[in-house]
Amino acid sequence: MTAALRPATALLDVEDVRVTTADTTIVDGVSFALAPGERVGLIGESGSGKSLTALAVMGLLPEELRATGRVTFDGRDLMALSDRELGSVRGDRIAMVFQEPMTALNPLMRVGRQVTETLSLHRGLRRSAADARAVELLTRVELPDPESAMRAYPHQLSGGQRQRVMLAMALACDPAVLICDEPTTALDVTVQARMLRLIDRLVDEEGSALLFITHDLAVVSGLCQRVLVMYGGRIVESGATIDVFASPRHHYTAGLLDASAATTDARRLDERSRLPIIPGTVPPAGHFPTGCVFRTRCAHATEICETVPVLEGDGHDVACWHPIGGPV
Amino acid sequence: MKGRWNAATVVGGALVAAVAVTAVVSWFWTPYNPEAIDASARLAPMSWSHPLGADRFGHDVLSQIMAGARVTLLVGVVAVGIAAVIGVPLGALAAMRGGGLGETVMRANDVVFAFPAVLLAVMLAAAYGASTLTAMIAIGVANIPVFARLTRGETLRVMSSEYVPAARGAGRGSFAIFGRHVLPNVAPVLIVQGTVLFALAILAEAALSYLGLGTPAPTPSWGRMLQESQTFFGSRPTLALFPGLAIALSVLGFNLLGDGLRDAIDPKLRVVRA
Amino acid sequence: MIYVLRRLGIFAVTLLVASMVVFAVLAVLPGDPAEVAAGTQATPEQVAALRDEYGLNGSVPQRYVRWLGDILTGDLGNTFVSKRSIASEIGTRLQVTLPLVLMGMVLAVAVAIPLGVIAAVGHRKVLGTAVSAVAQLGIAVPAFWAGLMLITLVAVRWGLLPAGGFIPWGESPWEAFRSLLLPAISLAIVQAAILTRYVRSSVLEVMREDYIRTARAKGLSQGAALRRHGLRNAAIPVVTVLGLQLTALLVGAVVIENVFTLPGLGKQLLDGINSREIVLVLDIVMILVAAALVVNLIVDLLYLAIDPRLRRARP
Repeated sequence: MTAALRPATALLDVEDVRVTTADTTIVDGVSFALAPGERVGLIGESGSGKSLTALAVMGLLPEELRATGRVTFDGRDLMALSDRELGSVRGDRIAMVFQEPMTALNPLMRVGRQVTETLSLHRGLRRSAADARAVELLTRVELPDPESAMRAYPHQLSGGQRQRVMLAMALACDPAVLICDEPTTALDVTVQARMLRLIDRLVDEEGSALLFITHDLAVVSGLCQRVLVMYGGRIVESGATIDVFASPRHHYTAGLLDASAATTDARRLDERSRLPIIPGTVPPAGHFPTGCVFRTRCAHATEICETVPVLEGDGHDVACWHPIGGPV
Repeated sequence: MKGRWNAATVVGGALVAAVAVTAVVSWFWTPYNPEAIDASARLAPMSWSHPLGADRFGHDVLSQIMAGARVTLLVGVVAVGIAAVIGVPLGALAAMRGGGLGETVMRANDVVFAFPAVLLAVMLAAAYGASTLTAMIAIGVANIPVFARLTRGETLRVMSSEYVPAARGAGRGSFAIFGRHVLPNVAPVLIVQGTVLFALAILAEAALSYLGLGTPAPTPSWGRMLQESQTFFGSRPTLALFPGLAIALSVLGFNLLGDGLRDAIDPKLRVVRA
Repeated sequence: MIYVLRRLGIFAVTLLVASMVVFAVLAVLPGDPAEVAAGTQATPEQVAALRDEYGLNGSVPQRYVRWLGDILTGDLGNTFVSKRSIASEIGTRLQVTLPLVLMGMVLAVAVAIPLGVIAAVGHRKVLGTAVSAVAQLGIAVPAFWAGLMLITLVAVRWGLLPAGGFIPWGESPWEAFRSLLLPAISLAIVQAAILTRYVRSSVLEVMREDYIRTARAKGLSQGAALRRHGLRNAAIPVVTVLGLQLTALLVGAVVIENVFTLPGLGKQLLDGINSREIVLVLDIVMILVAAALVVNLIVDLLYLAIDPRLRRARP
């Protein structure tokens, strides 16, 4: 861990978080920090453990999973807090937007009530004040006709509208940290761009820190200042987005960039016009190789890669024995 | 399809096996003839000669319990058999043909559903006299809707998966599709439901025999044993204890077996326990 | 709303068809009640007159229509032997059976909901597993056997509650209540066990839903999230089961009344069968079937109240 990643002013400091089931480890020692107002992207494919990392930070893991490590926020270790104490932090200081708008809202409760719930819980607002504020929030997230939306049930709204409601709920108490777990993945392509612009604008206005989880590199490059690349339950590369994308140091990152760029840039396709892919497939959670998690798919793997490489660097960090561009 | 062995399957299976074995054994041997009246043994307490005592006619309780297992199993098998043999094809038909036929079948289902098994049995007993046959038929018929509805739901689910339209596209007939694709997927759920129904059938027959509308004397039946024991609460409470225990253990066995099988197949399965 | 009308329509048709089935099965009773009632010395004319009076003449469809017409106008006829009004007879019996069924249901629900929630919330711990195991046992116990055991213990040995018989509400409400308590408990034991399992599985499912996680992300504790968001959702499948179980309770009451010699509908039904009172049996069975259908109707309409997704109206 280099000092650059853990400035004294870190708002949220995640140290060595591990998520395990009874017999496997899914997230294996993840550490990173968020400065106030900073926007960090967490990239990885499905199975990399990125969502679980966020859930571990929030204390919202499903009951079969256990998390260990330290998550320092506001001078306290969130991992050591009880559910009730965490409850006062969640929704108020740290908020989260989930991936599936279809199932994330209670189908039997009106939308308005679900928004005002946060307000009455953390700000003690009475009915009318909460309702007024809720309408404000729904307007901010660009919902058409916020008044009717308040009285509507979730099934009467579209996926995009529901996600906006989720955003409104998350930002209701002006959180210091907003975590978004693939908020646009389940939406139509046309709606995605608008949603991203909305998140961009709102986070800017609030001055909140943002942890944006996604598998889409293009999204991260437009939205986040820093990026963390996750594979096999570990962070394999991290640094400023510009640096990491322009000159990736980890072979996995390079592979990701190649594959993603090729879909938008025909010149990157090789002579036989095939998409460049990373050979092999992502192993199922808990079955990653010992040592460097990527070594079974890496063309540059050698014997030393059977030992776990440490994430290190000068701000642009990589966990690799043979990083691109030479040793750190 | 039958996956892991878990506690429920093992215990349930053991209980069911115990009942089955007892029934079979009683066919060949019981300590006494369960139907033989023996005035000298009237209301005998538990002893070496009558391990579970004897009732007011001098029938040996142990022998009656053993022989009673026969009726229990018979009713279960026939009732579940009727419900399945008629209900499953009906449900499959409703799902695969759909349209007006499907609707009619489902409406008819609702009508039958309005008749609880015991009530139907009471009606049949009133009309044709009480017997094990009326009980079995009534319980079986009353549960046809359960199998029909379940089969229809499951068939619809299977049919909406990709490979059935593909098979149809390849020109296979409905019958073949059902046999090859639908049935293997639907069967596990039906088997689980069958065990649950078996348990319910046992309880229903016991209630009917208790009321005098089921298995008539002198054929041994656990339910009727309970009725006969009623007059002797104070003096011989054990007369009511053992038949009830037998019923409870058999029902428990089938329920546990059903639960265990269901967990082995898919713990999220919904089973109808009407 | 169209849903409501459609449902009512289905109810009416099903009721009608059910009545035909009931009549068809019971109208073919062998033996001639008129002959029996008239006695061995009666002349053919007297028997014929009695047959006329009992409405036994005419083809089956004719008799059916006549019977249906009578019921719809409230005339349930008279019993053959004692010539008492069936309607008032049933009325008297209902004051036993209805409270019994209600008490049984209330007791069962009152026990099942907390137990089911405990079993669900603690499903990985000892308490939850223990509750599930007890529920499993409870299902296996035949209600009437539980009744017998309870009588032996509570009534005979400890003398806390009566072993049978019934004091009418008019004479002493307290005694009436006491005489129904043990029967209601016998019924409730099985029902509570069944309901507990359903409540448990329903709450477990809800616990895993995304919107519970969203609620917790907003800052609600696990308990508060379940209470405010989960319970209503969990109620939906439980309501279905309640409806089905109410029917089972009705039937169970018929049996239990025999155990505790309560002068209710069940006893009346059995007596009617034994003494070949066709019209009485017809009427009682029809009432029970109608009750079952009404309960199902209420359950369906209840869905509408609970689940807004079923309502077609725009916001």
